[in-house]
Amino acid sequence: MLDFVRTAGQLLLLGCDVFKSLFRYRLRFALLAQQIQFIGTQSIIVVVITGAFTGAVFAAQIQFQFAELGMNSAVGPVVSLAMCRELGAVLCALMVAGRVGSAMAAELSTMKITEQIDALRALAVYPTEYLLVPRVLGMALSMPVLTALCILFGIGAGYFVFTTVLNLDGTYYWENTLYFTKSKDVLIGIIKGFLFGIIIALVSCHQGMNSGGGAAGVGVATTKAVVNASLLILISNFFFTFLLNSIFA
Amino acid sequence: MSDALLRLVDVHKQFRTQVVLDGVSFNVEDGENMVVIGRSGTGKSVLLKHIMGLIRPDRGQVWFREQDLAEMDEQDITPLRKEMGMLFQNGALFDSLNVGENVAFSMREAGADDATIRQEVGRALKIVDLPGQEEKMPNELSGGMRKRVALARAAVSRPKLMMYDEPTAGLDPVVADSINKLIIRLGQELRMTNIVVTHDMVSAYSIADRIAMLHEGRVYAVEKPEAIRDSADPVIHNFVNGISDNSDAIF
Repeated sequence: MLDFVRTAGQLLLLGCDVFKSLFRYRLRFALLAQQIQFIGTQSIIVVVITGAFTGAVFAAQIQFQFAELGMNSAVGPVVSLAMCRELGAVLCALMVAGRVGSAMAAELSTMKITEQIDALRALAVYPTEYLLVPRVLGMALSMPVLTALCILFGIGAGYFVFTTVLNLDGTYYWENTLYFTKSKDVLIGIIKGFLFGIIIALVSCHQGMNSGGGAAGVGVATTKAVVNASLLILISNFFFTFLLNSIFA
Repeated sequence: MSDALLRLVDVHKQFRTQVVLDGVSFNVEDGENMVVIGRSGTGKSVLLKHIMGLIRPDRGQVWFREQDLAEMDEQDITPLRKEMGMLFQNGALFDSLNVGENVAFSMREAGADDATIRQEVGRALKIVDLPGQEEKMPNELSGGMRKRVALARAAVSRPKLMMYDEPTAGLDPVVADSINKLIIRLGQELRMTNIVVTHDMVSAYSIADRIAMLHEGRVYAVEKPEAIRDSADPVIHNFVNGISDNSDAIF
């Protein structure tokens, strides 16, 4: 319990430090571009596959159940709303936590044990501004785009399964999807993606910067980064859902 | 008040139950070459990190240019570090940057233009006897080469106070001698104040104006090299001549 409170406090302070550094120092565009390339561009395939297969499976399962009730026309909107409001952001965040969060924690903890972070400080560079700001900002900018892609491919794959595999008329799928999906549903997904991005980056950076010594320390930091970020995504999603629903009521 | 560039006053540091520094006090004068010796685990590297402000003392003061680093926060210490340089024990080169980028790091931070950076990096690498190695990555270098690149990186910005953590550890005697000569030359040419932590007494005698010996978390002696070499004190004599107690050889 004490550990949990301490970690929560450290994460909060780290978040404040990153936020302050964002305005106190000049932004390093080259490092930010590098991070966007690593976090965003290189995650596209993973996120698209995740979104597409989730949407495909979800459409099939919904159709199996709804067919008995004669509600095939509702499959599109259900897939769309689920992808927009929940699945797109959460699944995308979990995949990015696994792919990028672990790499971030491993890189930073390796830098720590090889004294590269101390060397950075010795060269009069504040590590938060050089290492953490580009990572947190890169994640915060990349995640909404990745989430949007995940949602888009989920809905698209659902349509493909609905029309091609299940041989049903796609007109209702599209028409009802467009009719029942409001811009606020998409916005909720995108905002969640942004918030999850900040959570992944902060948890991963915190684990990397506070890792123990040696190879074992790197391993522990990497594992903790993925597990803690994933848990925090799932738990915070519950609260974000209620918060965003009340904002976009 | 003395013209000490650096003053450590009663510095204490403890990691969990282990007391590493137990009231360390000494001064380093402007332009002086101070060598810190002592057995492994006596806190020599920790001492350097205190001077750099990388570690905060539990108690005591670290005065650099009449500012107490122990009382300053990280963001305020950062600009002061522009006047300091440090060679880490294993080099601590940034492994995502090549040799040239590592050496150029502090100049790029200071906003120097590309032509100046290229010229200065070339010059610095020539001084450490590694001309034309700009494109190599740190993992392609031997231990001695890494140390020399790290030395070039730390010295290229011409810091007022330069610290070396075991600069010759793990190097063959010839490379070690070249590093010693380099430290002396850099000190003279760039008018640096040097603090060198080492076990290597050959290095210590060749570099030092004064030698400070750490023992059991305290400064046991601060003397001229000749006085340390000829000391009859058993702790100093045994250390400088590499004589162990019989109890050290029992498992």
